Amino acid sequence: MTNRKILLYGDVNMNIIDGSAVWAASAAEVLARCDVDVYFLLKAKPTTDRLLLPLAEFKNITIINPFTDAISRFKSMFTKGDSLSVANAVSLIEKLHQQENFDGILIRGGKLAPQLAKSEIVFGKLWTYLTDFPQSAAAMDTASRKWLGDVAKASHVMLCQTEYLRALLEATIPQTAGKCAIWSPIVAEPPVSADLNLAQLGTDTNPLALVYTGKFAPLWNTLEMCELPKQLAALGVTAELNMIGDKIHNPKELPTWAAAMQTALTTTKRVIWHGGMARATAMEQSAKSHIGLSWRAAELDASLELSTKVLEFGSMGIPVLLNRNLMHEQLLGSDYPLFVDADSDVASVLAASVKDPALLAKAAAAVKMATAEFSMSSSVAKVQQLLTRYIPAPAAGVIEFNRSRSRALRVVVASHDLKFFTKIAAHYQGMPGIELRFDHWPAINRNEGRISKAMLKWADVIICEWCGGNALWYAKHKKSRQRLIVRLHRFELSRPWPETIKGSAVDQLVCVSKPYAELTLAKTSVPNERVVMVPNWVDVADLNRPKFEDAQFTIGLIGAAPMRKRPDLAIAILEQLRAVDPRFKLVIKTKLPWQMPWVWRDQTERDQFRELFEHIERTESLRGSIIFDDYGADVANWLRRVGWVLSTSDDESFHLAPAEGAASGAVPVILPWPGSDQIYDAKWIHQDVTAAANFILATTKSGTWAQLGEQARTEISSRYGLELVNEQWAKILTQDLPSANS
Amino acid sequence: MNELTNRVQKLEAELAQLKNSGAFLVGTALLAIAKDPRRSLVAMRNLVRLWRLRGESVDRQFSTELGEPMLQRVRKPTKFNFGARIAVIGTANFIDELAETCCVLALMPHDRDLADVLLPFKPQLLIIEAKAGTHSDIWRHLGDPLAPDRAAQLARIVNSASRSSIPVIFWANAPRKIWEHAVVDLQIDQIVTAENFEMSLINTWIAHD
Repeated sequence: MTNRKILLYGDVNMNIIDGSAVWAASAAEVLARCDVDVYFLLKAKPTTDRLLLPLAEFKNITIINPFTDAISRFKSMFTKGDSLSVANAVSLIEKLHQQENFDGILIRGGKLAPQLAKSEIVFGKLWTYLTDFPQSAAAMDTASRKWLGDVAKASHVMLCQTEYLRALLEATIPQTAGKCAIWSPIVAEPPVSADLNLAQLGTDTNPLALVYTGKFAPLWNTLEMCELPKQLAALGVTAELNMIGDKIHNPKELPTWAAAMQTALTTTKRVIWHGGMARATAMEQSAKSHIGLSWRAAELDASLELSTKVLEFGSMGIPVLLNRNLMHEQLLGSDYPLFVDADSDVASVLAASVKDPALLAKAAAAVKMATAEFSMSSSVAKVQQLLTRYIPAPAAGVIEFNRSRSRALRVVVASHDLKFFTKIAAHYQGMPGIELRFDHWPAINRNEGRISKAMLKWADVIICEWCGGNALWYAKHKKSRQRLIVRLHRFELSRPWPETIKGSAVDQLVCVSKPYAELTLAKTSVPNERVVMVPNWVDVADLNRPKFEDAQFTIGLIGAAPMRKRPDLAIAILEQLRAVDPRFKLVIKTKLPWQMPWVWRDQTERDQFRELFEHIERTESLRGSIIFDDYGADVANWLRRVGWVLSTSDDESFHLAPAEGAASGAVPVILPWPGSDQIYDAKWIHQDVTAAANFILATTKSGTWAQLGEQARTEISSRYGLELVNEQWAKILTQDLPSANS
Repeated sequence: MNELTNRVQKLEAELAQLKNSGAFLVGTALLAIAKDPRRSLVAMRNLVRLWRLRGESVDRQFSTELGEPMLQRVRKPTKFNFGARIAVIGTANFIDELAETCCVLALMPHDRDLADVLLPFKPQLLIIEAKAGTHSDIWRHLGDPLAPDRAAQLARIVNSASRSSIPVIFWANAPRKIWEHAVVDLQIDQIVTAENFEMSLINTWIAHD
């Protein structure tokens, strides 16, 4: 495979050292180290090379300076002025993509992303990294949901700095679910390690050296920091404060703050202001200090981001003074000695560490260990995995097609509902050599003729997701040179389409399980050898997230309506469990029946559900033990709390829920439905409610729950892992798969 | 006696449903204006709300279907409705304590809207206990940033309380790190930091009501 090509635009001024600029420089470096050809588009005319100089070492990083590139191959990008506006940037990125055909466009910034998301030229190519959006569910207002949803729709992948940000996005912006990946902060290999000289610390011989690097702003407590040398002197500790940075905020609500900060930096005794520095020089200067400062206002404690500065200090082995909050405790441990509590006196914490240097040594070891996973070498390994997943190597058939036709393979996906096809489509979207378009049908049997005709004219391969009106239309109109692939689900088997489709026009009819392939064959004129089986995909990498500690007492059910999903049996299992151990509870992620008009119109369904809800409310032992969580795509994060995932339906074609649960490390508990034994191993299938409850109780009692969950994950991964399924779907674009009955 | 109790409870439920009828609520609002013109602004606001609710929403459907059985969840100091009506997100101990003097409905995460879903109960006050995220089964993980769905459900309930002018008290009886992700950006009327919850506080807020 030739090198992947990625355009990087951070919408940030690289002349000023701040978190965003450092992020952009690190991103370019890590991609270059992953053998990506990086095209780094500058926002502002460079006035200093502090951040850009290290990038010049990489031959595969091309800096595009739109203010001077008048004669290079990027001359069309030439623009006047000192800085790109968002509109300018969008236009330049579009032009660059049309010229270079990037495999991905990595962007950052909440101002740029919504504008770029409107572009049809870059749709589906964006790798979007955002931190500037409301960081709580309560603050996520309608406008934020709208722009974030639009950005997610246009993005190939949404990059989140932490698991917390990913969880929030997935829970509040449905379009992001399944598209989010973690892009952790990256810490450059430190040019030097701290040499903590702790002898006679805090005396005139060896003053306690404190260091802060970054922007100067009220919430970052930079003005208050300047008081520390004086406060420490009062406690008998000689200290000096090194301040590195040149960006002083000027908040409108505090008009005198910037001047006060400037004065404090220049006139305070034992405060040394070094100004802005190249990143490496700043790290070298920091390494001479005993303690790095990342003490911030309590308002920032609810932030879901990790401070890159903390990690940089940590990588050099410099102990960091920082606020005690949940994220920092998870990073450094609750016994980390340099935490500042809301009500603690910072100078006293520092003075205590001077009196007991062992505390500083302990803190240094803790930060060093915690930050190892953010090192450049660890980051290269993680980003390499992302590249393999999101820009996969082209399939042999695709390469052959590209070579023989000297153009991309044109694939159309026609469907009214892509919920079972998202990750296959994403696989095509990311694969070099494929051009993907969608023919969105408003309903399973209704299309916009003009669009479908245009798609028909353009396509080499047509995939009809669902065997409905879309499949019939394309089977009727497709040319013999075109390849038609139809995927059928359980629902269509009870409808007339599989029977009436022009079977000879279908190159491959894909079913998700063998029993359904057999049922399909009995109904359709598609030749036997063209009916193939490719199972549903399970995205193990996305679903595999650490469980909450109480997961083994939580049973999960995904989808409880209509009544054939048999939520009553799930509740019966719970009743038996709670009779023995009242810690068990049931969480049901579902649309409620009245949210499904076709279910609620049915009087029998209505009666049965009413009875079910009354049973829940009236049964003392069930009260407060069943939670109905909102239906939504945030299944991966929701499964963190689930230890057992149920399949109690009367019938299913595949039933993805137990497979997804297993991929998350939950143990599948299945009551038999026709064909269940061909999809799932017999050890997960139990004959009745009592057997299922006994299995759960026996497992928790024996302490083997986690082990069984791991076993289930391995099994599902090897059968239905996304990589395996995508491999089949890449192959089927140009080659026939073996018949389901072979 | 049991039969009598059942009949009274049934009557209470029917009364609650009657109280939820549009005619009753419109009548109540008009009566309030007639009795005290100074309260007409509030009453008019209620009338507007009722007008907006005239189309049956899915949440109202939930109320219609579950309103009566939901009353089974209410904890009362006596067999009959008596005392302040408090909706609570809290630990079992706190709910027990409140139920000694008040009618208490322990909220579930799926109780999405205090005005619509819980019409049969009509809470006068919503109390959230910080320890719910660590010491209750129902709201476990509330405040954990890895479980933002629970925070979203809490926000939905608190916002519905604000819309319905139901005061919200947050009892911060756990370290800040446990709950700050749950309540950040929420509109809370009073944050109580005392180690013990002072019951007289309830009367203060209900008197406001």
